[in-house]
Parts: sequence; structure tokens; C-alpha cells
Amino acid sequence: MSQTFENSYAPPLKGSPAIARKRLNKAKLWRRIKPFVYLAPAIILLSVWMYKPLITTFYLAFHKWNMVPGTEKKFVGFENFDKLFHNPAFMDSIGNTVFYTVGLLPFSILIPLVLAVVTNNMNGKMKNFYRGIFFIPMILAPVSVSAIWRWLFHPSNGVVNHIMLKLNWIDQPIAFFSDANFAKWIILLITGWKMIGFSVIMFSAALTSISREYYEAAAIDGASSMRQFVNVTVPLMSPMIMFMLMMSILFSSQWTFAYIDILTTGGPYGTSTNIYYEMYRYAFSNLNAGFSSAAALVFFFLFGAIALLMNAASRKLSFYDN
Amino acid sequence: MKRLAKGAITLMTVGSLLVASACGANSSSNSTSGNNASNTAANNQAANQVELGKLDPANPTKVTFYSYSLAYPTMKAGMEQLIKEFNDTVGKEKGVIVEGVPDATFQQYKADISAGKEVDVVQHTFNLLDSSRLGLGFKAYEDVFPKAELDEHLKDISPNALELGKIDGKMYGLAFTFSTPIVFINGKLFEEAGLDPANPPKTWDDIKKASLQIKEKTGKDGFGLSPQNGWVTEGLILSNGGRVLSEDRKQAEFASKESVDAISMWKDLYMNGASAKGTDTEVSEQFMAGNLGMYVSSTSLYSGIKKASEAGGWKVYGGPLPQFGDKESIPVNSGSVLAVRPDSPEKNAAVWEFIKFVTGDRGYTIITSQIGYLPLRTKLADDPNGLKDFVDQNPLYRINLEQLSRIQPVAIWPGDSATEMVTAFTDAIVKSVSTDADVEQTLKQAQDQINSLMP
Amino acid sequence: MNQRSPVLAFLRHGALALMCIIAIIPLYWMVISSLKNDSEIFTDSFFPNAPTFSNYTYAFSQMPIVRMIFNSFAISIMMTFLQLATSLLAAYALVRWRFRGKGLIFSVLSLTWLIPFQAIMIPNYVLVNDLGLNDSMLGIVLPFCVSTFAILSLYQSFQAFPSVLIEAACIDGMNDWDILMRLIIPNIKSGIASLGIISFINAWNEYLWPMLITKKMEHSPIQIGLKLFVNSDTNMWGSLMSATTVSCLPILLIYLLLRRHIVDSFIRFGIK
Repeated sequence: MSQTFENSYAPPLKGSPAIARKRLNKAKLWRRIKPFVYLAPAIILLSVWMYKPLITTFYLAFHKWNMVPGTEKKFVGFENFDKLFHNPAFMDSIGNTVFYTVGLLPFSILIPLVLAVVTNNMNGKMKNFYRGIFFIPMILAPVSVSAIWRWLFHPSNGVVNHIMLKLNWIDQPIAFFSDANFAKWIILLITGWKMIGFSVIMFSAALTSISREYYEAAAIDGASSMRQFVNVTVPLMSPMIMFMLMMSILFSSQWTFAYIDILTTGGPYGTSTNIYYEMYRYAFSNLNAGFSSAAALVFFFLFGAIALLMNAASRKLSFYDN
Repeated sequence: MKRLAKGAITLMTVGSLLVASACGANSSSNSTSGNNASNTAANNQAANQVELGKLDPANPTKVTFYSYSLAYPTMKAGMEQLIKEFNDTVGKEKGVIVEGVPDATFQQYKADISAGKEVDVVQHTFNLLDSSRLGLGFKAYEDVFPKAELDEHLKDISPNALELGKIDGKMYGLAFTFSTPIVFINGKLFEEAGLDPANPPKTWDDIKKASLQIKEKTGKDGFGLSPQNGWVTEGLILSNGGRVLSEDRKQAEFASKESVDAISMWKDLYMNGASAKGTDTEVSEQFMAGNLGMYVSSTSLYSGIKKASEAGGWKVYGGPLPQFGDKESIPVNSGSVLAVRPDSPEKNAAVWEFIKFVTGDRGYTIITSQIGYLPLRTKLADDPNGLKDFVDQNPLYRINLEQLSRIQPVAIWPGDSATEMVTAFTDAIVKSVSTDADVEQTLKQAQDQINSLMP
Repeated sequence: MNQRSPVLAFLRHGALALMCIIAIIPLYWMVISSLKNDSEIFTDSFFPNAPTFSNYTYAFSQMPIVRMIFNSFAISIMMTFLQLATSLLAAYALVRWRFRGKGLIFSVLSLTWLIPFQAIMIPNYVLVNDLGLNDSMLGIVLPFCVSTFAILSLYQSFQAFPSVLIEAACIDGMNDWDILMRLIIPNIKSGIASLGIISFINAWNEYLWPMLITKKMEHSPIQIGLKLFVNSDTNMWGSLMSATTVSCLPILLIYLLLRRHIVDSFIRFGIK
């Protein structure tokens, strides 16, 4: 992003040079303040609802408090962190967070990339039709989606189990939401299902900006469409791929939150929970604000570090940047 | 994205600054602890004066009542009727208005207490009562209601039931909606399998045999008890001579041989191919859809199950909690107590009027006939003006009333980590029953974890 | 692009059609389940034999659906409007002037990306309670009235705006406020509309915070009301599916009407 535009806006001073010094100072002062006046609503609101709470969370992480107004917040030093890292459920939830993060990548990167490339070569109408349909799951609200999937995958009454039984794929219905072998996979599947359409659209957007000439050149060299995909499409799309990768890594666990809460509440025996859901449970089910805050802090820094690394990587890997 | 990188770098520096400022923020805690001191002072004052305030019908006192029954369709109508009748009769006469607040997940009252709202009466589960007492300001009945009135009111309630809500000798909850586990039976599937629904299986061995027979003859699952049920489990452990918590409630003890045997039996039953899988809700849905032979749950589901069976063209039968061999089974209680946190003499009086009504004769008549819980005033079941007709028409309740004499309380987990303990216990049971995990080892692990959380 | 062979084309369309089916079959199943009667609801028929609206009547009788949908709209529109207002002002300031502390402000803005909502939910919950806004729409909206994503996206659109025009307006004596309101905004209307659409959909789908704040169905957005219904313990799948259908309907209708525009918005801005 170039800064030249702003530079060119070193404010043009109007009026005659003979203005009194006092007035000049006043105008100067106003010019100084002006940007902040425009920024004020955003900055104030962010401070109140984002940064001050973040500081409070820091504070709470070193205290024991049950969130009841008027009760004492007891300073406990690093005890919350200590307990956190000795809590097997918390460690499991970290494992699941990694599972969701990695597991979502095919849905946020791989499948959409292929779909975007395949539809890109079609004529406008077909292209829009397909992309329009892929996009539908994206706009549906998590609760509605959960209700539908819960009904589809119900162990005794759901159509998925009925069909699989009829086809003799299974001889006993599967309790998808309470069987440890399936619970987290079904959560992943729903999140992925919802994600695909969005990624397809993002990749399609990036594709339209790639010049056809690259492909023509590759075709003349006799590259197969597979090779074109690997040698031309992927490198040229790398900024967008990196961007989606970062989004996917930073937010995938967030996206699973609603489904975990509605469909499995983290069960069976904590096998489908993730770190964000645990934070919520520590706070609003166990009423242990300090514990929840400590977990929040750990992850705040962890994701900060990941974002930093990703950024460094993206600068190295991007072949093509506007 | 470059912005993001910049952001992340500042993040690290800002982060260290924040830690520093967090220490500075300590000062603010002084003011809150000050608040707290004055609060406890107020509490002590309330505890000393047990007199009830004056109610004024012209200027009624509002009482909030948080109830999970209000959130469930099968129970909602009955609970609403209960509240409405109170408001229309006693409430109107004495000057009390009760407002029901549905609370499906037992989170609402916690959230509202932490939001500083008035939460006066809570339909509270047993297992978390201690942690609420410690952390959320619930009061002992002896401390807020006059002794004479209390004794008079509790006279006819089953003494076993009264014990359930006591902690350290004081009553923090009055048993309210209340039930024991019962085996619901789908008469049609039983008959198709060549079994007699009027003569239900008595022991767990019988249950296993019957369930396999149902599966073989009808293709439908024979037996259902969800590992996540959260309370019947304890009945199983107790019935086999085990314990969940030690007598003094200072240690978890559910990894003893008796408990392990009980859970292993259940695991065998669960894995035999004739058991319903899924969460408790899903299993109940399977039973109501007519696709399950036997289902262990609380009678509170009876009204819903009866309706479903009528729609599906089959008949519901019932049996008591099965026993191990020739040891008599020990059922536990499901359901709730009424926990109270009035904060003024007027509130004391208003809350007391409500409690008297809903746990009185009329209250239990509604609770049993409209919702399906047990009448804790057991005399009502034989009272022609009370529930005699109803119980005669629904003989299932006799089973339940008989079980009441053998009942033991579900564990009230001690201290303020009760929620974590419940989770650890339930998780271990689910893991033991529904996976290949070694039962003894799993239970032992959970027991150690829970004991490390003990106060 | 030598993929002209009909077999390949067929395969390609086959695979895409399959993806389409996967994308919309859950919705189809939702709609037909909502139309099935009690005896048919547990069967696998792909068309309801005797379609009935009784499930809808029941669902509407059980919860204030119209009220909740109204709440959802009110909340989403308020959030969208406030986010656009605050971010227009902020982005304008960032583009228009060079000033001390700008780099810091960018960092502060970007940093918010890394703050998961769970990390600030407790203090925010306490604050909303202290303000007495628990169980109110304002309480739901307030923490979401600034979106850094919106600020940064608008910053980029503003940069694309030709600076010559602004200079010219300046020389004509137009003041800063008028430049924003009368010159820039009318010219990037469609960009703002796109951003508005994204904000609206995000607001509509918000889950955790409304769940913490709302207590009564009358004050809930449709999402939370539906959640209470999902949690209830009986086999009322027909009415649950009809309630779900109703909850999806507004956003689906908007999507059908504005499809091109919505897809374009996402292409232009992505999502927060």
C-alpha cells in the first residue's frame, strides 16, 4: 500500500500569508486535532469494548473470581496458569483445536481452489449458477445449520442413518454426536460445509485477476492442465492462498464454536471441545473467571505468534503482489 | 496484511506493558472487597432476624422464580399452571407476584446473579447445591424462615426427601420436583418379542436377556440408558454396594470394586448390540418414536411418553430400577430442590408464601398430575381429594412411590469446583461405558482428578 | 485449455452437480420435513405425501417468531449502520490527513484481529450488566459498533478514490465534512453497500454474545430463540424444522434478490 497519496495531502494552506500568528496557531491546532475528531468514535468504542476488556482479562487471569458482583477478586499469582497446564481436559482441548485448524484446511483451501479453477473456465451463466449455489451454506446462521444437521444425523430418526442402514453400510445406527469416533468429525464437516462456498468466491475473485496470457504461454509450452494448475495458477494465487490460510488458521476454532455448543456441548467426555468452548465453559458454567482469562491469554499470545510467523512466511512465499 | 504484521509486533511490546499495568490495576480490587465486606454484614443481619416482613396486597412484592421445567415443552404447561394458580389465589390475597423465568441449561440463574439481578427462588439441581451455597449466596431455610412455620410445613413430607437438600445439617434446598428412575417399557415391542410387559425384568441379567430377545425378534433396540444421563448412574453404583462420595463428602470413592463391577455390567449391556446409542435426549426420542423396548429415565418424562405412545399406537408399562442379583436396588433421586436467596424481610415473607403453596397439597397435586414428578407428600396418593384417581389410572407412579423408601441422595459435590467435578465424573462414565477404555483405570483417573479439586 | 472433450465436460459437471447437491440438500430436507405430518416425519420419503402446515402453526404458537425475527433485523441493521458510520469517519481521517500517531493507530486497529471474542467476553459481560443493558438490544449491539475490518476495507476503497478530485474540491473551498459526505461517499456507494451487506450477514449470524445477553424469547434474536427450541427434549422435529425454515427464510430471500450483489461484496471485501 503506497503512502504517496497521503503525502500529497500535506494540507494545502489557504489564505494570505499575512494572517495573524494567533489565528495561524489556532488553525494549526485545529488541523492537528481534526483527524482525531474523525477517528474518535471508532477509537473510543474500541478502547471501551476491546482494549480495556483485554486489560481487565490480563488482570483477571491472576485472580480468582466467581463473577458474582460484589464478591472479592482474590489475587492468586500464576496459580490459574499452573492449574491450566495441569488440567488434562485443557490439554485435550488444545489437541482438538489443532485438529479443527488442520482439518479445516481442505475445506477452506484445497476443495475451493479446485472448484474455483474448474468453474472459472465455464461461461458466465453456469459459473454464476454454481458459485451462487456453493455460497448458500455460508449465509445461513449457525443455529439453523445445527438444527438441520442434528436432524439429518439423528441416531435413530435421522435420514443419514436410515439410508446407510438400508444400503447395509452399517448394521447399527451411529450416534454421531455422542460417539467419540464421530463427534469431532461431524463438527468439522459442518464447519467445512459452510466454509467451502466462501473460499470458492474468494479464490474466484483472485482468479479473474490473473491474465490469460500466462496460460496461453504455458499451453504453447505444452503444459497439461494439471501442470498449468501447479505451475501457473497456484503461484499466481499465492497471496490469496496465504490470506485464506491465515483466516482459516486464526478463525477456524471460532467458527466451530456454535456447533460445539449446540450439538455436542464438547462431549462425549470432552472429545469434541476446543479451546474457545472451554474458555466459555470455565467462565459461564464453572463461574471461574480467572481460569477462563488465563486460557484466553495463553491463546491470545499463541495466535499472535502464529500470525507473525505467517506474515513472515507470506512475504517470502508470495511470488506476485500488487 | 502488512498491517497485520505490524500489529502483531506491537502486540508483543504492548503485551509486556499490559502485564505491568495489570499490577497497577490491583488497586481497584480494594474497592470491590470493601463492597463485599458491607455485603456480608448485611447478610449477617438478615440471618439474625428470622421474622417475616409484612406483605401488602395493594402493593405486591415481586418474586422471580428460575425454573428449568418452564423451558421444557413436556413440563412447561404444568409449571405455568402452578405459578398462575399461586398468583391468582394466595399471591393475590397476600400480595405476592411470582414471575417465572425459563432456564433450560441451569446457566440463566448463574448468569443473572452475576448480572446483579434479583434471583429469588431457583429450581436447583441437587449435585451443584453446595457450590451455589458457597458462591452464589443461597440461604439456608432455617436462616430466613421462622422455625415454627417451617416445622409445621415440612411435617408431611417424606423425611428421606427432606434429607436430600441438607448440607452440614442445614436445609439449603427443599425437595421440589422429584423422581426416581424407572424402566419405561414399550408394551408392543415386548409382546412382539414374546415377553410380558406386565411382568418387567427384575435384575440386570433379566434386562440383558430381554433386550437381546427384543433385538432378535423385532430388529429394534432392546434397552436404552444413555451414559450421559447424569443421575441414574449413581443408582447403579449404589445398588451394587458402591459409593460416589465418602460419607463425610470429602473424597470421591467411585473407583471401588463395587462401582467398577456395576459400570462394567452396564458396559457389557451397552456393547451387546441391543442397546440404544446416543445422548439422553436422543435415546428418549428413540423410545418415544416407538423404536426402543426399554428406557430408564425419570417419571417426569411420563406425560410426554404417554402422549407419544398414544400417537404411535402402543402402550407404556413400567418397572422399578433393576437390581444386581438378589441385592435390592437403591434408586437415587432426579429433579430439583427449591433454593432461595431472599434479601429482605418482605422478600422472606413473599418467598415463603410461594414455597408453601408449591410444596403444599395443591402444589404437589399439580406437579404430579400435570408434569409427572412424584408427590413428596406421599399421603396425597391415597387421598381421594388428592391424587388417588390419578395414581390408580397411572400405576407407574406406585412403583415410584415404593422406591421412595429405599432412595438415597445423589451426590452433592462439595466446594466451589462442583461443576468441574460433575463434568469429570460424567466424562469418565461415558468413556468407561461407551468405549474400549479400561473401566477401572478410567474411573480411578477421574477419581484422582476430582480429589485434587476437593476443598 | 484443451478440455473440450465431452466426457471430461460431463465429468466436470457431474462433480460440480454433486457439490451443489451437498450444498443444498440439508436445506431441502429441512423444508420437506417441516411439511410432513406426524406419521410421516420419521420416514425417509423425499416428498411429503400429505403436506401440512400444522408444524408451522405449532411453532408459531410456541414462540414469538415474528417478534424474534424483528429483533434480529433491528439488531443487524443497528450494528450495520453503526459500523458503517464509525468506519467511514475513521477511514476518512486515515486517508485524508497525515498526522502523528497514524502508524500506531493502524497497529492498534490490526491488533484487534487477534483478540478472540472469548478473551474479552467476561469484562464486556460485566460492563453491560453494570450499564443495566442486560437483556436489551442495545446491550447486544454496543460491543459490535466498530469493526476494524470495515475500517481497513474502507481505507482501501478510499485510497482508490482519485486524489485529484479531492484536491479540486479543496480548492473550491469545500470543507472536510462536505468532501466526505458529498463527494466521496456518493462516489463509492456500491462499495459501501457491499460492506453493509457483509456486516449485516455477520450480525445476523452472531451467536455467542446474543446468547450471553438475552434472557427472554421476546428480547432474543431468532437465532437464540431457535436454540432454546432445539434444546427442548421432545420429538417435535416437524415443528423444529418449520421454525428453522422460518429462521432461514429472511436471509435466503435477501440472498435470492441480491445474489449478484452479495457475492460481489464478498469478493470485494472478504469477511472479518
